[in-house]
Amino acid sequence: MNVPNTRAVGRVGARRTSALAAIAAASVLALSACSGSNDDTASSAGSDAAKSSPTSTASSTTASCSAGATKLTFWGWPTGYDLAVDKFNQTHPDICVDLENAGAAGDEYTKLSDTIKAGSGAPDIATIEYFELPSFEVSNSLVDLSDYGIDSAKSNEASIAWQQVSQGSHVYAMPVDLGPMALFYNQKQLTAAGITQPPATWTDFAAAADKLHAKDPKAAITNFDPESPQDVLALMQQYGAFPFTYSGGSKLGISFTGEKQLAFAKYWQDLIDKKEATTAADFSPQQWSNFDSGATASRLSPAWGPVGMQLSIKKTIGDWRTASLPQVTAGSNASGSWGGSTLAVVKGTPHAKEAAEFVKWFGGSDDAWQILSGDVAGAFPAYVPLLNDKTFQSKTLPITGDSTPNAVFATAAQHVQAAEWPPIMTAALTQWTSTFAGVTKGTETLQEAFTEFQSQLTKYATSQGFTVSGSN
Amino acid sequence: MTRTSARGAKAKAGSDQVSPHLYGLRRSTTVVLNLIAVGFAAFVLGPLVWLFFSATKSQAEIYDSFGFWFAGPFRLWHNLSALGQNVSGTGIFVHWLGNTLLYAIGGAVGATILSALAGYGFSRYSFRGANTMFLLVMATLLVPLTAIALPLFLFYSKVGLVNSVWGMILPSMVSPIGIYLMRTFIDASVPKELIEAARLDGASELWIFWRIALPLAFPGLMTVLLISIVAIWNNYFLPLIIFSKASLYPLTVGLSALSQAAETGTKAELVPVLITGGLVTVVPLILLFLVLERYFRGGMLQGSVTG
Repeated sequence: MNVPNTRAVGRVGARRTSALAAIAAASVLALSACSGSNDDTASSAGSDAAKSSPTSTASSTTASCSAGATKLTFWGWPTGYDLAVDKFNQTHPDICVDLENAGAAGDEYTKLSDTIKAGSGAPDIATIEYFELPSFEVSNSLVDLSDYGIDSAKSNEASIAWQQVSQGSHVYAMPVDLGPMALFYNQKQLTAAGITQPPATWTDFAAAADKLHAKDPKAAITNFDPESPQDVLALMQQYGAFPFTYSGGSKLGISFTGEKQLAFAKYWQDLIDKKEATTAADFSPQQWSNFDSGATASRLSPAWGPVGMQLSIKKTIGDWRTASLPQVTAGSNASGSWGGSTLAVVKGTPHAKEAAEFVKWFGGSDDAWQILSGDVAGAFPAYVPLLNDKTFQSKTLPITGDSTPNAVFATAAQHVQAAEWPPIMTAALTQWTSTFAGVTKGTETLQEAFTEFQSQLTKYATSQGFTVSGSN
Repeated sequence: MTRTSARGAKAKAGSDQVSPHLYGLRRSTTVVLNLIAVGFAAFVLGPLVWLFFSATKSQAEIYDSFGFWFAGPFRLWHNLSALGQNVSGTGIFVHWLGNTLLYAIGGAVGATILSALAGYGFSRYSFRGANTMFLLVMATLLVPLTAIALPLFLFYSKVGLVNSVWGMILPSMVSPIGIYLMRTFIDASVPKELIEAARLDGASELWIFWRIALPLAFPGLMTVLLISIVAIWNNYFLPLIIFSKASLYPLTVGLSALSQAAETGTKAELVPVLITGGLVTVVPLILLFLVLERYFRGGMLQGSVTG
């Protein structure tokens, strides 16, 4: 069948032109639309997790388990968890744990609450960071481990860790790692500026900042990223200005505008105004190059910070030392904690007893911690026997020369101030970045951002049915 | 937008003599337009060039050196091989690449076939409710996936598509944009008279579709295939919702997991691995464009050449 092609062509030509223009426009739109939305989701998910504990991409463990073993699914993302799970499976033939990486932090929490709502697909055990636990407690999604003999693990855990996983006598998770904060400083640079002792109080710290800045106008004493909620909250915790109070139920305290909180805000705003604190984003290339070039002379660092830092700088390797954070009142030794995670047993599991046995082993045994604190995982323990271990404390790193940072961080871990996380942290973390962006830009002060955030978060919490008590 | 108007202008000029000063523009205007085009090109290519140079560096060099030139020892091969290594999970990258290929090819071929069928139906058959149905298809473009994430997940969970390859491929096969493009394309390139002539000669409807409409719409098919592959290749949100096993992740979700790990810093040097992974992720798309570009451009310009 030969259809003459020419017959129709002339007639539709005119219409083609417009149709093709439409195709071109639509395809350009389509392409840009996909990439645009992808970027948005990716970056928001990224920033959530970027500011939490050390994370990685643990792959699924292909456990070689015996046929009769009780099978448990475990969602977790930190590096090296697969190695610890393998060890558990080898030493506990009756239980077979299958590790899956369902995404880091926020991604995992979304999936976890979705699967709980769906009534299927939820894991038996999930990694949950301390700050997110109350959100799952309030929706009644976690097994109370005190029914399964978890209390025997209490004495081996740093008190701040245990406080954050329990409400009264109920225990909703097993602590694993912790991120106690310390002052991580470039000793060479500070000594050259005449600062021979790490500042003991925040007043000393501000004075040291003045001194350093006077000597070198390009140098700031440290970095303060206003848009990194977990960083700021850890420092507030140490300052005795933690803004939340919550102990279960529907009563929630939010206080960003109390006396202490505003004093904290003023302290940092003053340093920022004087250009004595840089405001580079945490983990940004800018922040790393500032540390290396001398633009920023110290880092208020969580315990898991130095290992990543020494891979990201090169000129000042060996110059860094660790000291306790400066204090509000001389002679105290308070610290804050940034990051750290727990293992919780998810309600609905038919194997709560076995799951409880696993989480207790994972967070609270020498066997597990030998792997978790090892070279691959590099987690910082909440597990006291390891915190007190001489070998652990005397470990050295290239970035810190012959000094022993773990000794300082281990002490800090024992003195982290209490923190009660509200069950609305997902919303708080999302809102934080946009509210505090103006502080980085210099268009608003930290005090103003605190005031704005107070009203935003109060409004949100009230809409979620919480009775909110504000600043006094 | 500049592309669209350029195409339109070219199409109009198609049958006339093209003057040395293209479209009667003054030289100064041409220079300005070219400068703008160069600016856009730099804007688009800049990140890719950065990606390439950074993939040859170590982590400290990435943060510390000029982004658009080499620094330190050339580590591209080292970084590439790190993608295959098992730093407690990162070795799974190769697996992710395979997954992305599977989802992109499976989904895009399906999307192209379905779009051709639906587009042909909308274009060349008149039936009751055709316009309403077409508007309905278009309306789905307006619903952001984020808004239906939870209901979608609950539904998937009920029908067993969570953590299933089909959960990724089946929805990718439905492409409203593809249907729209195929309809418009067939409107323009498959003459009604041709179909009627074929019918008079006793050809079956399926035969007409297969032997007449599809060959004439071939450039359109390639366009839809390309757009679908790119859309699936870059899809982040759907796999993020439905997969909770790293072994099922496509590159987008895998890279995001890797990025979260790299930024906070573990003992492994993951930033160069992440950047090299990003490079490996975009290279196949660039190659695909180079291979399919003539069809793509042919599809866009066909009207102007024959009109």
